[in-house]
Amino acid sequence: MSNPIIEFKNVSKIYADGKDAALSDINFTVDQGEFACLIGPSGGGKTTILKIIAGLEKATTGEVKKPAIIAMTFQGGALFPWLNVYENASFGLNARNRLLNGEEKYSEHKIKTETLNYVKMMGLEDFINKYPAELSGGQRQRVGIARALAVDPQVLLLDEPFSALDAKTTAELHDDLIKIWRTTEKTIVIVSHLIEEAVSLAERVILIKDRKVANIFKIELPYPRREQGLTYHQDVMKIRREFFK
Amino acid sequence: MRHHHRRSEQLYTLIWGPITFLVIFFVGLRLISNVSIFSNILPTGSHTGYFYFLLHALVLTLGRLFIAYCLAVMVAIPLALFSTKSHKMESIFLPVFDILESVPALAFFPILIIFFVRSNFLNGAAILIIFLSMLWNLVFTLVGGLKIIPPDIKGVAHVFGLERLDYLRKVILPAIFPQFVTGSILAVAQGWNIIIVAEVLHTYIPGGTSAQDLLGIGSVLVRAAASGNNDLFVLTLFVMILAIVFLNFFVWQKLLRSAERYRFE
Repeated sequence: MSNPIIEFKNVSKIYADGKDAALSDINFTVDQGEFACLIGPSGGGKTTILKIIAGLEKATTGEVKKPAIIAMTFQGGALFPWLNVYENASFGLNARNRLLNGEEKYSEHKIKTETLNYVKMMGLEDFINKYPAELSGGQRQRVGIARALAVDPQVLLLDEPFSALDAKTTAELHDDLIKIWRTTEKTIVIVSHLIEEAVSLAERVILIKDRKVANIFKIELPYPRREQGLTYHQDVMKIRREFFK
Repeated sequence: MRHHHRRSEQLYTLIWGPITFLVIFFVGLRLISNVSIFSNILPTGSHTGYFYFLLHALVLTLGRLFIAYCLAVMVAIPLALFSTKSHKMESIFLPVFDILESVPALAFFPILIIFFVRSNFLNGAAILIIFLSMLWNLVFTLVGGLKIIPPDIKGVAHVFGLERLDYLRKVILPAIFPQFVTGSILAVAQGWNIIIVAEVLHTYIPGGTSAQDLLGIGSVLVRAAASGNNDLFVLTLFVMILAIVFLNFFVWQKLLRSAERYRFE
């Protein structure tokens, strides 16, 4: 039984210059606890959808249902270069804490414990005092994910998090992300332009083409998927055909 | 590579900084010990008295520069933030700033100074002209800094619901810190450039006399030149250079190094 936590109903987005629609009549849902992937060619509108969910952009028309607490990671991690790993990872939690009142507020101890918990989960405990310039691309992305998870979001959004990473680091982060998803049972929405990545990670792949939802694919393979051989490649090929049509 | 570069920079500061400082200090000390060169404008008395005279002048000059710099920072930051708030604001304000920057600060001075002469606040006139000469260097470097903040960094602040003041304090101001340091260096250099004009006010006051000049390194330099006292001129110049070198090594170089951490890759 479906329990949508994100719902797009006839959503369109036209930027202020009014030339072209960034999104046109988008309809889809993401269920509670689901791992969804938005995939499609560059400029198709994937990131715009993610930004609308995150509240960074507003839909011009249509209806968007989304939960209150959403966290997002960006390409390259988007870390603050003047903060160390711990300070970056606790940034979101500290910001959220300032919005809370009275008894709702977290104590310093709680903030520290929560942050360290996710820093450890991402394997960064030995890098707590390092600055972003001293980290590899993969480590920066891990800090970005720890920062997002620390606020205990209902939905975690990831905007092409692996686009600048090498194959080995990407594969490691794929495994970590699946582990986090299973452990925390968070709803995850990821944007990618790689079909193999989408099939490796997501339960549903939403293909965005020409600013519209072109198709939605349900992937029912067990994890880890790259080891599923023929069936994995069949799913990849099915999306590829639609992608290039 | 980067490590090596930082190391050679440290070596440069460690070796050449103190050497330059000591050379200038001892040459200055040698000159300041020559009593005869101060006879026509400096108070008579002990060597220490002459030393304190120039030190006094330097402190007053630095005080004026500092106040003008603080005022320039206080005006430049809001101006830069306001003018880059949206594309529309940018298209309106940046051309206006361009025009204002190209008008020489001294063009306003003969009019502005009348107000300060009437209220007998000549230091105010000096600070104002230094402030005007500093302002645009800061504004334009800060505008440049604000425009290169990656959109994703702003996105992070938005996604985590940072409040306006926290956004300014924790994201925007640290993000423009490298440009702030560069702009400050340019602004203070501009301040040193104009210090002579700012302290020798009587040339801008209709019917003004040298009694209306302000004591400072700039005015001592002018008086030494006017009286043909070349030794004093060189000595004052040395004190000025010493102050600039000191500021460079112990303030700006340190700030530049710490600003490196604030740069986006």
